Amino acid sequence: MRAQPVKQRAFGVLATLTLALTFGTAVAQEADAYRLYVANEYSADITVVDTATNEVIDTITISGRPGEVRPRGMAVSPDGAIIYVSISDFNPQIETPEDKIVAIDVRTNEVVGEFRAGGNPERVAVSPDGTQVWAALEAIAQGAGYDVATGEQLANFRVGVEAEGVAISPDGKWVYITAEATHTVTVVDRESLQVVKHFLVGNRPRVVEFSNDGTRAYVSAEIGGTISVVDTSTHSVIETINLGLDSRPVEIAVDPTSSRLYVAGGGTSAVYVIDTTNNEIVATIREQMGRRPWGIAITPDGTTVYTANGLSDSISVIDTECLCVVGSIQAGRGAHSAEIGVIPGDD
Amino acid sequence: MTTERGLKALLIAATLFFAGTASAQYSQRPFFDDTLAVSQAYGFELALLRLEVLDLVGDDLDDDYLEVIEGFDADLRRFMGSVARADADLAEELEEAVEEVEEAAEDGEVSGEAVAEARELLQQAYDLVVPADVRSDPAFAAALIVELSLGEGGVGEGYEEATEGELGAYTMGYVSLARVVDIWDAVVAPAADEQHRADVEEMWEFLGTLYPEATIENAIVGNPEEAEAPVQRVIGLLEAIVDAELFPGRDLFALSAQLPDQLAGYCEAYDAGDDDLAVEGVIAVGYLYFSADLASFLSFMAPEVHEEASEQIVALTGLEPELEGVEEEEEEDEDEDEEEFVPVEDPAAACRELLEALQEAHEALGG
Repeated sequence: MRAQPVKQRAFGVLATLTLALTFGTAVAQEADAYRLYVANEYSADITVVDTATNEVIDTITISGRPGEVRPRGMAVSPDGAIIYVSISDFNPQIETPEDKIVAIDVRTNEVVGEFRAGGNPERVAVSPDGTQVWAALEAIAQGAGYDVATGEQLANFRVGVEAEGVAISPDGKWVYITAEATHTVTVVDRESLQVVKHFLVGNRPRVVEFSNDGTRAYVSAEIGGTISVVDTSTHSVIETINLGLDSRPVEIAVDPTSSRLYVAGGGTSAVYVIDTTNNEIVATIREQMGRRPWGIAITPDGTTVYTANGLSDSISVIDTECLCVVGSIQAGRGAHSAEIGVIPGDD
Repeated sequence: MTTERGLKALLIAATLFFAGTASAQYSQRPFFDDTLAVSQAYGFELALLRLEVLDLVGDDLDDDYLEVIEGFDADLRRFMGSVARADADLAEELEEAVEEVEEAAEDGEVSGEAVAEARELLQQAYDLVVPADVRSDPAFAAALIVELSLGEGGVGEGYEEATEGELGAYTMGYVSLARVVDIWDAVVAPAADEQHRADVEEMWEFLGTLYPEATIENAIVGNPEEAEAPVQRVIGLLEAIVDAELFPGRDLFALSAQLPDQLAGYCEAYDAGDDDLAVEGVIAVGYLYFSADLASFLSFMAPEVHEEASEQIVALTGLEPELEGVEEEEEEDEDEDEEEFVPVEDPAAACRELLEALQEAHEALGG
């Protein structure tokens, strides 16, 4: 794959895909057929896994300059056709052409769009209708939204220092953006494009995810060793789940089929399983786990969890019935984050 | 998107948050309970490491290393008041010895003899101000490892600055790494179980690959934060090994309560005219304010409080804080005209203003 300059034609392709999605024509999938994407920070590529076989079926090269350019956060379009990847160099002080979000058509591995995102974009989220992409811009303490069809930036906002995680509520109304150094979450009203609130969470917040019904958000705090439970009607922390100070939680996976939450514990090389009905830890998966899991994703049918393990360059496969590791898959160097999408149709 | 609006929301959110989450997993808190001693020890260690750099570089000293030499002044301010109080003659000798080394280094003629003398006097002063039995406490030693790993002149910063072409900072990181491994071996490792020891030593080994030799000739190409990630992992392991809280900003509310309490005593020292001793305390408090994310938090949520606090800390101590993503242009300007630190005219008044700002900071967090 070769990065290309932004072209109107490319956004025309994206616009077509988005329209197809909006009218519900592009999501005809087998129930158990998904693709797992793992972004590898140091080998500058993305490992693609078929979740039916747990085999690596592709590796998408993000840059021919590993060690200088890195992919980190990703998001998959609802139809599974496009992955949006945050790309940056390793120098947050200088804005370079490498700082961008790319839209990759996973059927061809071609870049079909680019979004200029100065300031080291770290993580990215796609709106439920697939029409917008939002990013946390780490180096310049901003959150920004982009129109998928035109590539234009819709708005950008000052958020806390070292912006990190971003998520959009299932109803599409709210964008939450975390900031590591200020320990805050900034809430953006996506319709009015206004910041409505900043609030404190645990120390070094990383990732935020919404519950399936959108009434709660969960924010991992790496140094705090906690998950903050947020009431999204008031944008307030209503409970804090303590995983232990050594847990170093990063990514969170919300089970689409149950009340479970899975949290990657980078410090303990464990996955914490939380029952969100009472916010209690019901299991801690350690045995045969890869080392320093940061990324985590769950299949839409809720049967399998995958972790991206940065120190062992591997992906652990977890069966959600036995809550045990049932396999390991080789990833690239510095496995960072994990996302799952449906297999796209042929379009 | 207004700051005022955000702050009001924060006041409520912070109160609810901290009311529900105050908890502690580790029993010791060296950054809270030994704030001054950790800061003093950090100053001694940095000064000793600068001498180590001079030893390593020898006659090859050039402009790349001037910044390393310039750091002596800030190091000494962390402890010279206490040295003078304990042994005025030693303090005088030490100041003269360090000055001689600085001048020789600036002239590009480092004398091994002068370096050795300064080192011996520094070590004597170190033993006097932070006795060996304090330094041999594993929690205290772990706090020192944190400072020498994540702080200014440390392992993480040395590598980061090496990617920006700061060759002197790289060598400083190199000697810092050797020193933290020494402290680990001597004090902390004996307290570790087999798995923890293996995990920490794996990280030292990895860091060793980032610092394969004492000096480099060109900027490193790669991730500036490459050294910080393993260092962060080490600190997490150290917390469990020594049963101590080693991230002082983990609980910002507790930190914001602690800092004004500590500062009040140092303001009284200024009132009593004991400026040299007072400034050591303000440096310890001010450094924590910046390094433990309280400054970052306030710069976003209550910028006027942060502005006042940072202004007074800089005026009283000469600390040169760097907040990522904040006031970068101003910092660049400051870098351009580096001047020798001149203490503020009325430090007692400045200290009271700082105290007021830190109390407001605590209130902003719901206190």
